[in-house]
Amino acid sequence: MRLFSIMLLLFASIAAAHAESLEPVSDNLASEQLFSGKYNKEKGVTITISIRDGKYNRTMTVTKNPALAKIMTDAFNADRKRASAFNQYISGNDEWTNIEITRNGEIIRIGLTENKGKEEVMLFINGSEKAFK
Amino acid sequence: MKENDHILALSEIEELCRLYLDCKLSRLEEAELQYVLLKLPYSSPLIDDVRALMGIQAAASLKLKPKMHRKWNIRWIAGIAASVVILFAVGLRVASGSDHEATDGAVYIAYSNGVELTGAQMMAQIERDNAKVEAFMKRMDEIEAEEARIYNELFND
Repeated sequence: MRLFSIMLLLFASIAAAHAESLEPVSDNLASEQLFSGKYNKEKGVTITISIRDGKYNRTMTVTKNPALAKIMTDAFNADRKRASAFNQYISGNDEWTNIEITRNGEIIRIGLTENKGKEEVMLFINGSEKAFK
Repeated sequence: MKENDHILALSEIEELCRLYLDCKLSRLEEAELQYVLLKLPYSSPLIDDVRALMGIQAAASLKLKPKMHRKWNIRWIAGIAASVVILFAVGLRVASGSDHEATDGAVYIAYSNGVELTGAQMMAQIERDNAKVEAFMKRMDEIEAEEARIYNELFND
């Protein structure tokens, strides 16, 4: 029984350490949950993630999917409540909204663009790698 | 004799062994002595010699075998379990790390319409999205700078 407990603890530690190291993700931004892998296989969705030269960028674009578009805007609005800066630009069918959140001394920019004519919504999270550790 | 095994003293066993060596025991008595030597853990040079002649091992050493077998089983199982855990952890690491990590340490992941993109298609999609993001941020910075300029003109002139 004791041996089994030790083995189970060892396995749990390895699994936890591995899960922690998968990506440098801060786990309390609502927008980041969109990139957890849950929507990777959805039709009409494009997701890109790149970590390069110290920069970490994630982009999600959804076309003709009002339900998922709402999920994205709800996540953005949840993060907007804690933003230190907010900016919005509206022109015709295009609506661009930008917020900035400071984490680990670095600025994270989260942007949301909505094109009502094309029924397209894009959300991105951009910042240095350090901001997400 | 079986029911009296537990009360035979070492000296009595040795006496029986002497009789055995002197060929003074009947076949039945030899079989009984063999049984006693098998069951009881007594040991002395005389008793060990008779055991060797009879081709039997001492009761104590026989009893040890199951215990050693149990210890060996626990170690075996623990070793197997540890190996499985380590292999699983290494496998997880290899599976998660190698697919998306480029040789320069950069990480690229792309999905489009439910399909994971790889190679040139993946890089092209990533470059397109990153360019959109850069254009967005640049435009928003320009708008913010323009707003600040207008504000300064209105209130600071």
